[in-house]
Amino acid sequence: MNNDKNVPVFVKINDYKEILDIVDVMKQKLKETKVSLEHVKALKQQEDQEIGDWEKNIAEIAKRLSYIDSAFFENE
Amino acid sequence: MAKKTINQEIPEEDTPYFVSIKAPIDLRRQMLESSKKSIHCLQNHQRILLIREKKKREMAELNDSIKELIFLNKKFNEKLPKYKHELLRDPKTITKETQEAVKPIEHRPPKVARPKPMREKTELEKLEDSLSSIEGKLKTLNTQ
Repeated sequence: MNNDKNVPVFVKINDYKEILDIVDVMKQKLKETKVSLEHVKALKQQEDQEIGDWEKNIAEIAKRLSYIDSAFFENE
Repeated sequence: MAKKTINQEIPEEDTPYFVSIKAPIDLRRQMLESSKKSIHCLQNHQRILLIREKKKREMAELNDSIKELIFLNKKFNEKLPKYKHELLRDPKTITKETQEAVKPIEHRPPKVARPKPMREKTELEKLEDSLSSIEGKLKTLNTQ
């Protein structure tokens, strides 16, 4: 036991099998998590895009409203 | 009931008042365009609501997956044999440095008991605790 960082650890064979199963399930779950995260990212991008469009539309309405306002009230 | 005569005098207040609008077609176009844009805004809003609903569902799924991962990780740690590194180490290999690192922990003055807050810990605080516990374990591994 000279290299204390690499001290061997003995695991019961039954536990070992269970550990392997758990690792497999964890791998699967991690894959699912990654997929979910990608979906959330894509949805966030869509939302940002929609908010950007919303902003542009509002700016457009404001511009046109200002034109209408001046056309209506220039006689005052 | 007496019928109103055509020649009845129109009061001064009811006389119609007209204002001239220059370029009426253009104005009409502008109004229609702004109506169109308003509808686009409403469409944007509806689409955002749908996206948020989808995002909420995805976030819930993600949250569940992460919770399951935490649970599996806990189970995984439970399956590993429990041992103290110090016990497995050759006493000769324990350096002065590590002994010093251990000593102050043993001779720490007793902490003054502070009244614990009664409120339950939030999910974020619980996660923070788990994280600091893991960091502590990692630190002890690194010092060896």
